[in-house]
Amino acid sequence: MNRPAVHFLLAGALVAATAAAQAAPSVSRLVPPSELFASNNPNPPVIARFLPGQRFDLQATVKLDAGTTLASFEFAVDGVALKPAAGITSVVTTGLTLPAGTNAAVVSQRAYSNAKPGIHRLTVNALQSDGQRTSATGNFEVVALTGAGRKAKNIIILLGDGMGAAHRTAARIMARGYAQGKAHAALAMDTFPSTGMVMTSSLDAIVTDSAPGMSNYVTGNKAANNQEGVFPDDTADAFDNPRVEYLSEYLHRTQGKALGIVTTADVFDATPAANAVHTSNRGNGTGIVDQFLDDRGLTGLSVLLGGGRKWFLPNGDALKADGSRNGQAVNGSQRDAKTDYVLPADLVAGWGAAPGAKDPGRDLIGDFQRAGFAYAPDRLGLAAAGDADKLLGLFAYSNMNVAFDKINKRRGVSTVVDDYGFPDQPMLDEMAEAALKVLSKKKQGFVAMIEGASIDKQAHLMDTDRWLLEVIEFDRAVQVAKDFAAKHPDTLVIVTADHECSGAAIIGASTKPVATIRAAAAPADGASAPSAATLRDPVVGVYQAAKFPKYTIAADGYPQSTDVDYKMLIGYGANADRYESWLANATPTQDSQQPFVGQAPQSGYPANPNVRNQGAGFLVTGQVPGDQAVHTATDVPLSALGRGSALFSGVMDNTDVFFKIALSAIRGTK
Amino acid sequence: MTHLLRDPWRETVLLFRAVQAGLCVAVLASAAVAEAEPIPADLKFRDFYQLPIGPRGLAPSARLLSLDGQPVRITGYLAHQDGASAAPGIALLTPLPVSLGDEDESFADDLPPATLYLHLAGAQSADTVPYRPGLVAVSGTLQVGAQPEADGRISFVRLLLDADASQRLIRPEPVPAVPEKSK
Repeated sequence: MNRPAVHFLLAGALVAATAAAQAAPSVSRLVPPSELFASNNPNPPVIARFLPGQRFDLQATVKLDAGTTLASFEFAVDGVALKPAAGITSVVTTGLTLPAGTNAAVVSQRAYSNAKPGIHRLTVNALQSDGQRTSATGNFEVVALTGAGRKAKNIIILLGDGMGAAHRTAARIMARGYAQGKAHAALAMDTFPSTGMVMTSSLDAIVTDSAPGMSNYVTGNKAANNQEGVFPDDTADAFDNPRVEYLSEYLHRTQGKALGIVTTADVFDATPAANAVHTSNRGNGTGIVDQFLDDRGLTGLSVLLGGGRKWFLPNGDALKADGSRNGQAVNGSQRDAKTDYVLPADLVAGWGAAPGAKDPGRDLIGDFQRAGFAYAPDRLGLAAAGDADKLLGLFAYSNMNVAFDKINKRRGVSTVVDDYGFPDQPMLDEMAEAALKVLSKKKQGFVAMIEGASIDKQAHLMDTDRWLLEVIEFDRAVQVAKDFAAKHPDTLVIVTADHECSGAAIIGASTKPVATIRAAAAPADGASAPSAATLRDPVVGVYQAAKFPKYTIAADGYPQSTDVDYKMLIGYGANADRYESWLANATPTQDSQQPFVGQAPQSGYPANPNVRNQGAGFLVTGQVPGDQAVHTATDVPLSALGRGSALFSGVMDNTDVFFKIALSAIRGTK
Repeated sequence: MTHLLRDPWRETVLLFRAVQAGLCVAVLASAAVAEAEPIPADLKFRDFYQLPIGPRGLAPSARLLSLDGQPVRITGYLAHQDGASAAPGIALLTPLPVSLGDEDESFADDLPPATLYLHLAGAQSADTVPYRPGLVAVSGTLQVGAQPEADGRISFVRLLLDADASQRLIRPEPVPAVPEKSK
């Protein structure tokens, strides 16, 4: 990559390059993105917005004429040319993702900020080596934070991944029960005083994935699908994209707050990463987990709990010089150079970020420990680490097992977690409690993101009973946060989702005892195979036929069984082909990321929803291709409690949430 | 000695008495050749690592370590890779069908930890192994230990195929359908 620091000051107004007789240079991308640049619309609300002083990168892609080079460039804000410090600008002309043969330069100025509220005009001016000039203009807004009052010292974001209104309602019906049209009790998240609806779209589509779904909440800006903490660019490097400062980074830099991340997914997954890591490829696991630790000085990372141990194990690097094998432990590490990161110098200089290294041989657990983190590999270890100042917990090789299987292991009726190799995994509420215990010691407060990750993952798989218990587990973590806020009144707690998943719908309830469903799903020899005529038409009770399904809740807080007489029935509006039996699946669907997958006993698990319950259910033809349900663009509910919670009502964009949190933390509310 | 086993089904049963009941394989080698060589040990993917998994990751099983440098045979699926993630001279054998190269999850993340790297013999080391669906049975010399691979990953367990087997693996031949019962 060619990254000389180049900038210059233009004197006077530029002459339009189109006046030239020959082809002229042009600007094809200007960052931050704006409708002023894209469609010449100067007005909000479609505009990039930032907090006063929030840092973000300026970038432009300049298309050059063949045979020319970029002589110089500058950015100007409100007509005033910027004067960047040495080393924080760059010109990239190689490794671009533009069509072959395109002569272009990607020019950047890192870590810009603006303290003055209002709409600002951003201009890039570029000079081609033959003397032709080009410029382009966009805009961005610095949001005024008004008001004053008691500040939220602690911010807790509980993120139910993929949790739409139907998921919440279904969990309430199962966990609390209804009679005469009323719920016997509310979920913990139902008790929050403020509720709103959130629009979840990403920068480039109405339907988001989890990377922008989370990132948008904590940067105040729209990210593109698969990207987190960055704006799109035209380079192939996934770690050099123009950055936007995260909530965690902003509040750590300005207030000294710590960051805690808790998830039931692999910690490299999009939602956890989109609180601390900047990349345009959510799949780059090695670099993502490295950046968690390397940039803890920017984010204040103090707690990281979840799955994903495979990214933290040292991977062998080479044969010995004599040709013998190197003796590196065969540990299942998935670290590799391709998914690792090295940052360009201007980004390091501008942000004060760690430069990174392609180091698959890194012992990242050891590095966390050397940085003062206690390491918990299981539930017992988590309980023992309660007094730690910093805490790393990696409870699974990849994603953690789901609540359905964890709780049935504790009840002694399932060995699924043993099949995965991790028999003693904590529940999400236990992880939340441990995390908040550590974070509560932080004198300047903290930002915590606690994710129920497999609400989404099981909804993708249309495994109804498993995502239902995921929501119940998540709500128990909500209760932990609510209890914390009761003891620490300067705490803001938000419960929401990054998007809805699967188009889940509570269609009614079974009109038959579960034994009847079981008989229809496993017909005797010679009897009719399961079909709509045997398993749908006589079973699905709609409207008043649904009545009020009743579940028995065990002392551990989860239903004794989800296969009850007259059970609640769920349909999917964004489904792939599948077979519906209405019964709980004894085992989860195979997950290629898990150890021992494809081997007995996991080889006996369903391969995917296309074939799961084949012969035991009736075929439901999906509206989407593939074997999984998909995310939808449906708005999601948001509930808020504690300091500043009154701000969170009405219908809001996901980027609005960022500014409401910031207002609570920076100015305070009455 | 490596065998890539080809039809017919009857020969499969004769050759692989130790392969678990009901398993179907694509038979790509002749019985006559097999009988002339030492009988390789049967290895299963579930034999690779110890259970439960320790705080520092997976650990190879005593059986896997005992077979290091020994002839073994094993049945699995060829990983389906797009052009960008495949490399010549190697193929990936996995315990279940996987497709690599999705941008959304990145290539590394779909690969099961118990993945066996198949190394073609020298004469075929520049050839690319064509994808074929269904189960295949292979045998060769097992090698245990971390090693960087041409595809950018690092392998833990490899199978060094001989020239005869390598040729059969890269030969574009129709593959017998896998009976449903074995999926």
